[in-house]
Amino acid sequence: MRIKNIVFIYLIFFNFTLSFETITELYIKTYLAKDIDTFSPEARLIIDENSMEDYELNLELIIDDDDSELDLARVKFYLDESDLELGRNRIGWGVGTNFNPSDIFNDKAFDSAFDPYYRKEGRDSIIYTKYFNNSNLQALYTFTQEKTILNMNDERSPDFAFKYKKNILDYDIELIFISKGEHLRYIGITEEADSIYGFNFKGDIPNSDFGIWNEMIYSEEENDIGAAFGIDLYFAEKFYFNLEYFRNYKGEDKKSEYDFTLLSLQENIGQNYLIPALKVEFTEKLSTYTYLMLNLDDNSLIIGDTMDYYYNDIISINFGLYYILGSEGSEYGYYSDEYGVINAGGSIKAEF
Amino acid sequence: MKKTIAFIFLITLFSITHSEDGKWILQKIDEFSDFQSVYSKSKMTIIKKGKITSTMEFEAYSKKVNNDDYMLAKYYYPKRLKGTAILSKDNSIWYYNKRSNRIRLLSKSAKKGSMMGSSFSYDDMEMNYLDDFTSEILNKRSKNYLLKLIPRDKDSKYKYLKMSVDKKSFLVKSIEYYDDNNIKFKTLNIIKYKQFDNKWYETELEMIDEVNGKLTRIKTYEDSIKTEIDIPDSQFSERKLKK
Repeated sequence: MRIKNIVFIYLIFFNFTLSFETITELYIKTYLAKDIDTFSPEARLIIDENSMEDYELNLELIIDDDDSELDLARVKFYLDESDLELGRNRIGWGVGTNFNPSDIFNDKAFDSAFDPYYRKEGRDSIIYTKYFNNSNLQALYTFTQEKTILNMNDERSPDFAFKYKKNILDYDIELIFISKGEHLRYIGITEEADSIYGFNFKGDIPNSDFGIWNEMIYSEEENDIGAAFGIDLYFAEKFYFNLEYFRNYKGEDKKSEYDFTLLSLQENIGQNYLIPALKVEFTEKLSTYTYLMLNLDDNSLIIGDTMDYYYNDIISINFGLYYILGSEGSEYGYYSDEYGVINAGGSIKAEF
Repeated sequence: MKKTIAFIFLITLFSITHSEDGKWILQKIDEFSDFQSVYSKSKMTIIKKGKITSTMEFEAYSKKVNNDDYMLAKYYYPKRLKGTAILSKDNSIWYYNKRSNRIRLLSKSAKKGSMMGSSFSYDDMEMNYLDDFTSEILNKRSKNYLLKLIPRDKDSKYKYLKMSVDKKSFLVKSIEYYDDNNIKFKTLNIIKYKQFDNKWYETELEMIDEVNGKLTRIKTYEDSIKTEIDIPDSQFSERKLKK
């Protein structure tokens, strides 16, 4: 039995004597596509100790049929006007809805694209946040990360970054600097070290009900700009609409220059995308999310429609249907050739 | 003739000094039920066709800061919502999800949207009747005043409200919400009040969606209520959203 599992059993035992709160999440995930018929059970054990004023402890263990992994293990100290987080953490930077060019610290799992319960993989890090009157300054350091994916090595060098955030005239504004370390990908590609400068804002279009956001970065290594720019609107109490444009500075605007190996890294390979989406809350238990992901460079697309249903306080169900279309050599044309024009996925989650 | 003039003068003087207009009634409502700060724990239940479809519990801090209403709500039941928090201040709403560790500033239109699938909108939870509405008395002959409130914000989704107020206690009994087509589409009933610090706090209320029949009941746990406490402004911040 792995040592991590023994530690967790130990912690669960001590849950009865200490004030840990535990949440157990059980999943059954399935995905249907051409030549793919997966059925994946997964369990997550979440332990939170947050009864103390000065610190909190959060642990999250994932167990699936292949492996178990400590995805989150951090302690957060609440100091005078500042917080200090140590350990394995999910770092959530960026203001975009569908894409976050400045959110580069955590890896995405291979099958995350159509997984509604997907969470980014944790990364060992130190995060210090200093709070001021209406702003905060965050400093972040991530440690070397080595892992094995499909029996191949994947290694990330440390990153360090700063983010200054302030609310001005009802806009959240962020200035970002990231010194990104080299990343040796398991498929044999090396992403060079980079300096990234970012400017984000989120707020409302004046004299309208529309929200607006911009997440923009400049990559010194690529000498190029990445961005996510969008608008959104809640209306009639049940509907949420958003429209986002994404510029992928790592991609190519000509399909003849696409690197299809990047698809296995959950990276987009085109440069310009448009994503309109509509969420409808039919009831407090049932909602749907319909979106179009359009590659503007090659006109290939995915139309997705997912449904979320909260059966009761413990069980929720998600089902998604995806229509994938594109010409030969296009990004989503490649997907449809590999996996079929119509894909479907479903998940059942029990949480207690 | 002189007696007549004197009589008219006295009546006019009395009217000026004791004018029962809508604004005066709203001021009395504020006097008896408007708290500067409150902490409480509540349970929200959504009921359709007589059956409970959803239950959630949250704790909330609220405070008046420079005529603005600040609110921080943290959900702790059911487990799928645990760690979800909402901060509302300065006309903005921030939403935090613990599992993704991301804070989102929502667009202002989100305030008009449903709060967690209930019949309440975020706007409904923060209405300041005195500042946000003009008012007129429709009826004062019964034991309740009936007021008509018209929102000052032209973009409000409500065309007007009808508010029933107890004449003796100046406590709001019910509010009917009307849309642009003069159709009543929501009704708020305040079922129970409890007295704290010489004022009255709504401890049980329900909102009925007249269109689909959904009923949302919010019941505040009376032993959790703390009023007029010293809540620092820093409690309503991103830092506290995540804590």
